[in-house]
Amino acid sequence: MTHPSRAELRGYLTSESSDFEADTIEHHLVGCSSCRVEIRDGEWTNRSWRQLRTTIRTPPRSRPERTLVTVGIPNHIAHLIAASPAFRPAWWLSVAAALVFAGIAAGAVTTNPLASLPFLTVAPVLPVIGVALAYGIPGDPLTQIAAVAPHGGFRLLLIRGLTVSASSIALAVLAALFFLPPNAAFIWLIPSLAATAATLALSIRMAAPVAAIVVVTIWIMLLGATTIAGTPTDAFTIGPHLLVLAIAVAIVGGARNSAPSSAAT
Amino acid sequence: MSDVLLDRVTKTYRRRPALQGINLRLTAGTTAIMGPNGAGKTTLLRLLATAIRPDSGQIRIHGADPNRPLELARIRTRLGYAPDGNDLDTRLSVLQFLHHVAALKGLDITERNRDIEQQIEALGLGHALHRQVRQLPTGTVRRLLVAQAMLGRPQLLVLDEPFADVDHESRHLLIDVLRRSSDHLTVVLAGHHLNDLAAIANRLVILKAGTVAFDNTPADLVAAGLATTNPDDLSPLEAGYLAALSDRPRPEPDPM
Ligand SMILES: [Zn+2]
Repeated sequence: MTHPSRAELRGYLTSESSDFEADTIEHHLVGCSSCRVEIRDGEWTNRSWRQLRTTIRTPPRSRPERTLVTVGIPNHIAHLIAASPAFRPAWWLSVAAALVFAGIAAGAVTTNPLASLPFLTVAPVLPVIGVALAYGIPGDPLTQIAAVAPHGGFRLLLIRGLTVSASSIALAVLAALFFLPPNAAFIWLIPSLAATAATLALSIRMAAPVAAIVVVTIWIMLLGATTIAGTPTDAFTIGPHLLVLAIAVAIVGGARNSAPSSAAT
Repeated sequence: MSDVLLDRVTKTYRRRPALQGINLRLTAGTTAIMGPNGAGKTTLLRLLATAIRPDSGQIRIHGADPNRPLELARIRTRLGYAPDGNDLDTRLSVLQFLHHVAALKGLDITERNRDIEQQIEALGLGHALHRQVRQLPTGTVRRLLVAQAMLGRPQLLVLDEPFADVDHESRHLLIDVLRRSSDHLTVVLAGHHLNDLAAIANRLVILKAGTVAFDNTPADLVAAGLATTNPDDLSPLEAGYLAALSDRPRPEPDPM
């Protein structure tokens, strides 16, 4: 039996060997007790462990994550927003869905203002629903772990919904600058940005699902009022007001309740 | 005060009762939940992990009520949960997976590095840091699931089937880690492997059709096995397990 060299064993131990090499060495280790002893008790394993520690402490960070940390977003939130490449397909899918919604809404409503009503009703929640569908694989162990983590579950959904709304708005504005029709598509994404931000802000004071119900109720009531007045699209101006109100509540609440803001999900 | 308390807890799925009036008081140490498939093991674990709510009855975890949002948040910051991970299908690498879960738990950078380092060492994951989780052998996935559950120094560790389909080395590592952690935290795990579970648990709970059929120490299960007529040459542990699940009337252990 040819044993792997010390360099190969060290490469295996510090995660530097390729998947193929690692598989080969792992296979060998199962059947070779002398190599198992070598890898466990060899005087060189301490040095390998120190090297490994450096790898663990300096995980590759994407540019968006570094930028978010620089502007003062807490580390763990920045990590969740920027996510790793593994989540990017779901993120692009959500952004694409949001843009398609905004495009259809803007195209359909130009003629008849009352046609805006169904779109306005779902506008605040649609991107979050998109995120839930794109990211969530029900029954997947990672989804189950996230569901009971302090920053997982509904909060994670809101954080992702917020970034999807913000990115879609940026892309829609960019498209409008280059005269891609329809020009005003981005305003259809503002309700969702306002609603998710308001819910996250309110969740400092109350459970996140309760905050979501409060925000959606306020939205529906105001939309009803503007519809009765005959101008449902006035509801667009409500979004930003709602957001300012929620942030005010959060700041007042946060000051009075300076205990850990780990709001429930 | 007990660490975990279940008082007349019931849970029904689509009219099929999964748990029927469960009473349990768990203290620090390791409790193994056993029983045939469909007996309610996973439902009980999901209740303790706050993934689902009971239809009726009360649950208290370290004195906190998971039905109250702020107390639920407190429970979750001190909870480690490893679901049954047969289909853990993610493109994340082992290191990315651990950092992702640490971020979900809200750990700051110091705690994150400290805990991840510690778990990688304890569970022998150093050689797999950059490998995709979906390509790992089952034993390594089970070790990774326990490692993520330990991040953030939980007080309550809930593990579903940590020994299912694991290789020899992984089993030894897992048993070793769980033995060491049971002196300072409450561990609840479910599984099928009678001998493994009896080796690490100081308490066995056997579920049968959503009710508690046995709740005592492994030694008591052995004693119960020795007391039965044992025609099939089973080990005393196995005979005790079968006796607990059989329909013959036997003295009820006091639930309180
Ligand atoms: Zn060898």
